[in-house]
Amino acid sequence: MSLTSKEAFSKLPQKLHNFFIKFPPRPYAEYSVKPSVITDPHLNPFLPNKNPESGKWQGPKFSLRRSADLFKMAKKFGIQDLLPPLPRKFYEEKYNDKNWMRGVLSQKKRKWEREFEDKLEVRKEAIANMDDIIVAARPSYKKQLQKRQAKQKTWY
Amino acid sequence: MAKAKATHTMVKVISAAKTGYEKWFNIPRHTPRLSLILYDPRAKRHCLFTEDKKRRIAERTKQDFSRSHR
Repeated sequence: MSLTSKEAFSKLPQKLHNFFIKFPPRPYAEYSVKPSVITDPHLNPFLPNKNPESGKWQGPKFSLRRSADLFKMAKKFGIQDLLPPLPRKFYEEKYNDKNWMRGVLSQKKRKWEREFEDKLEVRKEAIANMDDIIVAARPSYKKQLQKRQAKQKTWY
Repeated sequence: MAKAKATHTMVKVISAAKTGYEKWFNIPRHTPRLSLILYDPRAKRHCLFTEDKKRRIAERTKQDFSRSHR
């Protein structure tokens, strides 16, 4: 014997029950994803909202602690999607869809670390072209190089 | 009385291989600019070493190898 939706609703924990009375579940009511105005009909009770007349912000109707409580309670019954969108993530979603910090994804590093690769490149190039650099400053070095090449022993 | 200048100066020569290896020499003043080929252990080969700072050098007229005087 399965329950009707009304019967099931009455069996919810008191906190959830009262919450859904004040803020109807998602398919029947829309809630904005971002902080909006207090006069907005789609006001999200889990987010701060602004008073357009005074320009001041009102805190969320349900604090992070209470909203987390509600979410976890709803998750047990599998109705967490009926709640308005929360500003934080829970369980697997928290670790799988993590909001990584910019400084973690693209690390700035220290100045020497940033410049190190270029420094090594310059060094490598200078060593590779060293013979030419020496010959430019001392032309007689060319003869020395040629002598060295002539003396070079090969096994074939 | 101003201090008399010493006969020799300390001069630093730096490797052209950009390894940061440098050597110091105590040479007589006003000798021409040093440009030596020395061993650079960081590059593991002989490299050109040149002076890093400017200093006063004795003027030397370029030698004339043409026979214009004849």
